[in-house]
Amino acid sequence: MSQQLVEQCQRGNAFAQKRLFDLYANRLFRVSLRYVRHEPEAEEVLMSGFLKVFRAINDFSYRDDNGLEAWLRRIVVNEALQHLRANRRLPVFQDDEIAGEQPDPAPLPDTGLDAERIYALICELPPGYRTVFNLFAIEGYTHREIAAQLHISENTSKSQLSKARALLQHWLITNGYERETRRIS
Amino acid sequence: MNAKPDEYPDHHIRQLLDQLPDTPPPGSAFDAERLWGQLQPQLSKTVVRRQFGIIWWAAAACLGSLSLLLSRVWLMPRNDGSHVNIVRSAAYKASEPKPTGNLSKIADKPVLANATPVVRNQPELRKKPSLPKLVTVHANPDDPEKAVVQTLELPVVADSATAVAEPIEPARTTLVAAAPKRRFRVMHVNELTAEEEARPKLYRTEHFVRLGTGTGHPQASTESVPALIIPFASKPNH
Repeated sequence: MSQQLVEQCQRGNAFAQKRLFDLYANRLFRVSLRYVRHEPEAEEVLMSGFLKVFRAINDFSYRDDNGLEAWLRRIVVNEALQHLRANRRLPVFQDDEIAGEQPDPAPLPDTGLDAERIYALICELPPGYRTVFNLFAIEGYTHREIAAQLHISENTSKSQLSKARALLQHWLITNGYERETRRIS
Repeated sequence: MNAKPDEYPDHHIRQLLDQLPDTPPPGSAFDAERLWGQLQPQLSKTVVRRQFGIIWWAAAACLGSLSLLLSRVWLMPRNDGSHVNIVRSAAYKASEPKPTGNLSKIADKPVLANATPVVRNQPELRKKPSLPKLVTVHANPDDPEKAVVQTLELPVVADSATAVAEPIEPARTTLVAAAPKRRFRVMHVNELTAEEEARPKLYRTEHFVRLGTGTGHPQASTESVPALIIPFASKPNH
């Protein structure tokens, strides 16, 4: 069904465009909110992202639904970074920062964890940690690509990621640990 | 080494995020319908602008091809040569000797018998010089007081200055006269030799062909003759 939807969007069918928007709007809004953190800005990023999607959809060749979603997410992420760059909201990183605190190699406690809580914790991360963590851990960018996007060194990208993981792990363990301690006691 | 333990939390988090419902975050004021209402007018503008762009490009392409076609037709030389004739006649007219005011002056001037005519380079219309008239006066036998005046036309003496082998023709206004006058007769080389042979020989030995150099000392061998050396580069004369 998605293939037919894409074909109709390529022909400029307004109903198909509306249908595609309804299918992916909420999901992509969450993606943009993870980067810009403020809802009005996230809506602005989403709107510019969909404009770009419908302008460039003629150049897209459909393979499967995962490929379509990945293409949409890539466009929204680029729009979010562009928005941050335009508003000078990109975090300023320390160059060649050596990762001080290493994350605990022990597995994260998965009790009491839910997706909404993790999503909220990611959004609470500092801008630098959040951007690098989103790009590496969730979008799958390499450190080289992150360094090129954010105009930082690879070492800085690695250090920011380590700190993001450490902080996130700390919060998760703290939350999980608190829930675990309540159960025990 | 650190990648493996780090991959676990990343993978875990990714899996958890994939389980998120397809709804806005709780407590969010996001409304997809409202956003579509804002997006749709901009989409229609994009489509119209794109259509106009295509139409403009098509019109520009048509105009360009039409102008190219017209320019080729305009500049193409015609087969009937009328274009060339127009050019030739224009050039001929430019080179045509203009009738100067001298003609009228010449006609008005009285031509005397002993006046030497002026030889002009340009062919121009001129009147024949009027024949000098000899006036004789002799006594009238009937009336001795009155004299009889008789005019006698003198014979025209051919003068080299005035003799014209051909009558002066007015300048032709046809295209044929525009071609330059040939000064020499074009003939085939065989005709030339035939003419030479047909021509009466003034001397008996005229048709003889000389053999040798005629110096009387035939060269014995070529060794005494220095070899002709032609330098590759000419030396400047100092």
